[in-house]
Amino acid sequence: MRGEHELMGVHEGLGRYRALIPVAVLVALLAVPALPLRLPGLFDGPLNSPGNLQLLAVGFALGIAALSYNLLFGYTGVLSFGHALFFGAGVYLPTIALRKWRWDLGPALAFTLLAGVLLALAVGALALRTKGVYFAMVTLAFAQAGAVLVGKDPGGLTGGEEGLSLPTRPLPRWMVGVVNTDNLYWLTLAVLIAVYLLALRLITSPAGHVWQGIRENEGRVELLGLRPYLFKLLAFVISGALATVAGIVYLFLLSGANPRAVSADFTVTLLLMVIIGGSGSLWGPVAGALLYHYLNVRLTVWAGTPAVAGLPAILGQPLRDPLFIFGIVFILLVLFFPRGLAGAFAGRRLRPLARALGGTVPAREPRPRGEI
Amino acid sequence: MSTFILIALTGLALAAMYFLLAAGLSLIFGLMDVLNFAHGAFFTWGAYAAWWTIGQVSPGARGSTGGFLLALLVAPLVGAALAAAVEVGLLRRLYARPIYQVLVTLGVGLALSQLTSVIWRPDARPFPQPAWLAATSTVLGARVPNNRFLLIGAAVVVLAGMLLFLRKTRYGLVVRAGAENREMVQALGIDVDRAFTVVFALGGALAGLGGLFGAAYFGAIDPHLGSVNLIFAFIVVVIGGLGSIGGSALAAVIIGLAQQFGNYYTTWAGDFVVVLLLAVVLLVRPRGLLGAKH
Amino acid sequence: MTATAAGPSASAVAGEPILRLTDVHTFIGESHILQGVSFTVAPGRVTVLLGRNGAGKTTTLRSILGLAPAARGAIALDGRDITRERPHRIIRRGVGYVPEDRDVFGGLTVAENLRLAQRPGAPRERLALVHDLFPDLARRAAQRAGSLSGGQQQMVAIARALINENRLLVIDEPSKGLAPVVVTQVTEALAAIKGTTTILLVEQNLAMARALGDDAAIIDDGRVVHTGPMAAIAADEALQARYLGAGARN
Repeated sequence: MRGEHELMGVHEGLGRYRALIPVAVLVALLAVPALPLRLPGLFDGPLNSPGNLQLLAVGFALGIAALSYNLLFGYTGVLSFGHALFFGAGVYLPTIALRKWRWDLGPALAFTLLAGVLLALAVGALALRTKGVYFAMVTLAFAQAGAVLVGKDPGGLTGGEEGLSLPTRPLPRWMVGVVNTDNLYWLTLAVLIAVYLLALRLITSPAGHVWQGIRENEGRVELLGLRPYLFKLLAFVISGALATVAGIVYLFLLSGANPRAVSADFTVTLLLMVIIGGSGSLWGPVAGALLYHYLNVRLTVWAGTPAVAGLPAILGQPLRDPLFIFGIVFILLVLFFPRGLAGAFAGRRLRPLARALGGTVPAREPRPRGEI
Repeated sequence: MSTFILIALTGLALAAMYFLLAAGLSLIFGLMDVLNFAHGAFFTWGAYAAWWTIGQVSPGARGSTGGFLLALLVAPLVGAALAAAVEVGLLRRLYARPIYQVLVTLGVGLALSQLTSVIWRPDARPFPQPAWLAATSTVLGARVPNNRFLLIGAAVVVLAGMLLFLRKTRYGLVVRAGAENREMVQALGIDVDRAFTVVFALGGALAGLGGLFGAAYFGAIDPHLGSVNLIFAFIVVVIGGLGSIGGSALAAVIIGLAQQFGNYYTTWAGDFVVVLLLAVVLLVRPRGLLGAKH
Repeated sequence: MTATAAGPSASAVAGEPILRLTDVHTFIGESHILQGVSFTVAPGRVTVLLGRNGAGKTTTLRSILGLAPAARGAIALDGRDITRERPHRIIRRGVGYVPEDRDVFGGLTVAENLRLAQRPGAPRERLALVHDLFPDLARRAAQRAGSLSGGQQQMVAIARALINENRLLVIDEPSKGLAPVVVTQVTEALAAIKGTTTILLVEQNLAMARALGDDAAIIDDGRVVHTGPMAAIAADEALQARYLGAGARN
């Protein structure tokens, strides 16, 4: 299978420049804060305005979360509905530590990461005692416990429905304020790249191969004398810890914690990003997250334009409700493009591009085969 | 004492609502192995259908008895119709791809719930009910709203009806056999696809009915009514044992009571106790209280 | 290459075969399991499908029933093409199926198993007939099928097929996993219904195949390699060694 792709790569013109594509994408992304490019209709004002940089950076942060989710869903075949718990930990714990306990940034972040790992370990160890739909329901329940805890504001710790803003005092000066949005942009991009490379290393490691083996056929992995439970737990913990990292950068970008970050809806959104981008590659979910976030923001903007405001309510109202549109998109994608963007690329001439970006492009549908 | 009675009856009413949701989920999963995330949306639509019906029959803040009785018919019908449409239109194409079935029900749940917000705006609306339903009765000194009793009564009737359906009817036989071995049911000359549609519609009807009673219980409806309760229905199904109606009923009672008594102490203790119960059941008995080995 | 046309005993039977498979190809996932299976089943007779483990016997039966739909070729029941029909429609045309491993519904009682199998319009006296054949089942009607012994479960499985008036019974390895004394009982039960209905039987137990079979077809590597009277195959040790190998039990 692999050989076949390599052959195709040689024959297709793009193949020769394959290695250059990620570099080009990277250079372009790094250069964005210096580009006063105007793309009317797509972006308001110049591309490097704080607002647009913020839009892209939040997309990156969500991309990290989607990528971490896909290690579990796409690569191990485990469908969890609890991912928001770990992302939410990354959002809430530093805020609480900095604001309520008046810690310094370093210890607060170290504590958050440790807590994220332990939380994932505890939830995973318990929930992975079940499989398939049981696992989906159980993780959903645990995440819901987190959401309830945050929403009910025990001891005034989380700020309840209002959320909690991040104090600026303990933050380094280069991270604070709208003028420093480009710094945050680069920081988020750097974390994204680091997480991406780590994930690439992981999925090509022996453990990564076992994950994919579990996805294809858990029973066979067991026959090889390996314990799928431990490997799934490893995937769960790593994926959870990376989601916590995503939560931290997301927090820096939004300068505050909002209960939406721990909600079950957020996990569903991550799943949607993965489905949009395609679960068969590392870059697919990142692209899916960027697209999702962009549309989520822009649809509301478009809905406010006179052209849309003039539409009859039956057409205009759904546009003001991105979740409705995403629900429909979700259904259509699952029915007609189950492999998402990455799959569309893999299927045609763009396959070398997909491979260059580090995706494993299976010849057939790379669907997770959990024992649902 | 009167506080205890009030909390217990409120908890049982909550349990009844969870049971109406969980019973359909459990039935659908038992036969079709589909975890139906759209179930909460059927619940929400049942609630909105009931609200709309009552509003049409008797405009104003107080619903009439006639409107309520009509809603009792319309809500389950809307749930059943939506469910049947989803099964025939979407799920049937995906029986070979179980995870994608879950994803499609997720998308349907998202779009359908949000559609209520598109049509009727996202804000919560008061649910008009006839005066006798909103009034309270005094039981051992506790003043309990009548809709609690109605809810509990409805759940008992549904439980009895489902047990009869499963034990005594041919479709019930098909459902029980299909949960064990779908292919063999086909090999006996039974149209499993049609059984799937019927069971899915039945589950949708129960969810729609649950939506009506849920709206009466909370006194208000909003687009997220179903998805919030769906999570507790999931917990009920896992604790009770997937595919066991009796297990769902038992677990619903435990969860409803635990939640209400927990909430009596602090606002968040109830939900926390519920998740704690789930964790304990998972540790001690992962297949649920009355679940069969799998 | 048909079972009916091959042997002298078969040529005695006139008229259309009940079942005719013509060049049937079936895939399971990526594997090409049946690679052109052709044979016929003559009315009123017992046709035995023989072959090694993995030769494609069960897949042949599952293709006939539509459970493993054929990708190419044609399957006709009573002269009517059923290749693309869904399983429950094929069964309703008058096919009774006794699967490998019996597949009784363990959570249902014996009576419920039979009630589920009974197609609408099936004559009531069939139940009495089944109870005559397996008196044990009448006594255990209220017992959960899952609590029965393997032999009793096999009787439930056969009874499920007999409770309707069928054109054809398709029986997959009824002796599998049963104690010798139980195999004898099952053989006797099948011998009792032989002649009243047409049977297509997969069986590795040669003694049972010989006791029941009129005609036989041997499948090897997804193809029918030999057809003829069962008696002739039972006498031909070279043929058995070649195609049935260690799989054949006496």
